[in-house]
Amino acid sequence: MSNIIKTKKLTKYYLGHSVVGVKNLDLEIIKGEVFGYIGPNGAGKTTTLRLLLDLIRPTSGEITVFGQDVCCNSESIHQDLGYLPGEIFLPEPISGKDCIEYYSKFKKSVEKKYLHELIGRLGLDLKKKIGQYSKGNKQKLAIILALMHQPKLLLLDEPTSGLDPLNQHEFYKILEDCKKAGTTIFLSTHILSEAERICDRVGIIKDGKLLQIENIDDFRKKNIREIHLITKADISKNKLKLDLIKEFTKNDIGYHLITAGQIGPLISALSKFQIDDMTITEPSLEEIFMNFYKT
Amino acid sequence: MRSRRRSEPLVSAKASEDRAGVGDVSKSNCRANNSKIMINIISRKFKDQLLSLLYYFGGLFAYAWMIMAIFPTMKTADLATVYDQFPEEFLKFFGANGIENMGTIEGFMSLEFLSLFFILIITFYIGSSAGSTIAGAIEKRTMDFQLSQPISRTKIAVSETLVGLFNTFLLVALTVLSIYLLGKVYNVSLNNQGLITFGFVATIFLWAFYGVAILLSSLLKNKLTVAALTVGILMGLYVLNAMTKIVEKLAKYEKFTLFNMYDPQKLLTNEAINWYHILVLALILIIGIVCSLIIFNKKDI
Repeated sequence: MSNIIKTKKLTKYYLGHSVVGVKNLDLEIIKGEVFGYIGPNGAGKTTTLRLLLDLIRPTSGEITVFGQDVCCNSESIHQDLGYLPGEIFLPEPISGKDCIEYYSKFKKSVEKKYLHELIGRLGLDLKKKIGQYSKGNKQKLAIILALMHQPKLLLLDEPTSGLDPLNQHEFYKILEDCKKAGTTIFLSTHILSEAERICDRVGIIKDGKLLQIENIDDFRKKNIREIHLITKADISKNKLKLDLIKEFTKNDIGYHLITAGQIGPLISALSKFQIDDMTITEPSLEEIFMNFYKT
Repeated sequence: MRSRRRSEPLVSAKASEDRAGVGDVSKSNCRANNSKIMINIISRKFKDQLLSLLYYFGGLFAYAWMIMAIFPTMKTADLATVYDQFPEEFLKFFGANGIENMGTIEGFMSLEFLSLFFILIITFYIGSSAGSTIAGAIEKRTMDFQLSQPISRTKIAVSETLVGLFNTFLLVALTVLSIYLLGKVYNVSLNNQGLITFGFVATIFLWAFYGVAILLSSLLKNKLTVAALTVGILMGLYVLNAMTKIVEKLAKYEKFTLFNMYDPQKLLTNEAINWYHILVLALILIIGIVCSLIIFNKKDI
């Protein structure tokens, strides 16, 4: 299988050698794959994306996209690339329509029918000036700009920030369509459910180092959850006797648990106690890293 | 306006087939697109600057109009006596070449407008335009998305610089044309050939400052600093030039001020163009642009 993205010992330092962006990064993303790049803020996700886009230059190491060196061939690489930043900065005095017209002229071809469908699905008013758009509408425009030329590779940097749940849902559906059409997607995110929904593999990055690459099925099996119990009952980890509990702490109103694996046995065990309320959420990345990706 | 045709996949089968080939962008296609892409940037930048260009021209026109309107009255006054009241150094500072010339439109226009204020107003535009090309776009972060498009840094910078240079020429040309037309309105006789010579030299002189400004834009991190430094350098050189005329010891430094290559009064009275000066000014522009491109291409955005 051909690699769409390949990095070899890719390293980027900032401010001389005092700040690590990424260190010895080895990545291989194959054609048609949706790769999730997960890490907390400051982990090196955006640095990797900026290196892939040739916005910043590596301190050492190699980086190729479509088999071409990024530093020497950015023009031809970008013909088939769509970039969607978490927060887009566009010239504010122009309208959405003018903006699309301006950026479409950089592309080899933009299929009008596809463009209109995309605008319709996202429901964006193109008559307004960009300066008048809300953050969500700017993000919708950014999605259109990234996808309008039907690129072979999509680089997404926390793409759903600013989108409301309805538009997030629509965006995931658009990505699923792109995936079906064979587009390779590199998705940087700190939202686990986002990665679990659309990715084939995930790479876990922290402090500029790639800790692990996992298939999404293996990642899903971990089923990492954060559970808040509101209860006056006296519960201890020993009483529950379950391996899936990774963290168990008591607080003023009850207990806080981090679990990994199917939580059915936990619910059975808790049924013996008087529980007033229970919430199950996705834990923060910090908690996940603390429990599963210790460095 | 929201489409509900959700059953159909958004990406067409044709596009899907097209995507099966990886990295098949032909380089000849890229080259064919280059001029189209550069024209796209040029027309966008020109449209963006059109309004501010009108403001700058409005200011220049108003200034020229004022000078031209008061000249007939000033001409009837005993200007030699008036200017005699000022210290010689003061008059030299503002570009006066001998009191006997102050009664001519060339001398008067030069002293009151073209020596300093004309250059200063256009240099504000130059600093702002060149500042927004690299430093301003990085500062506003619009450069990120622009560079994710299939275009090189060199082409972006060159396209935007061409707009800046053209607009500088436009400001000079429109001001010269205004002076000519206002001269007709107020029955002030001007040397047409001198006006053209002045326009040509002034454009090249200001382009040299564009070279300096674009270099600063590649080095600095915000547009305002670029504009302020460009104007600061211009003013510094102007003061140095004036000082070389006032203080004898400093006379040897005149050739380093650039203002020795720009004397509006002499140019308006149809002095021949000094091609050596034009070459030096053009070299400053070219070196400034080339250095800025090298720095911009190596820069982390």
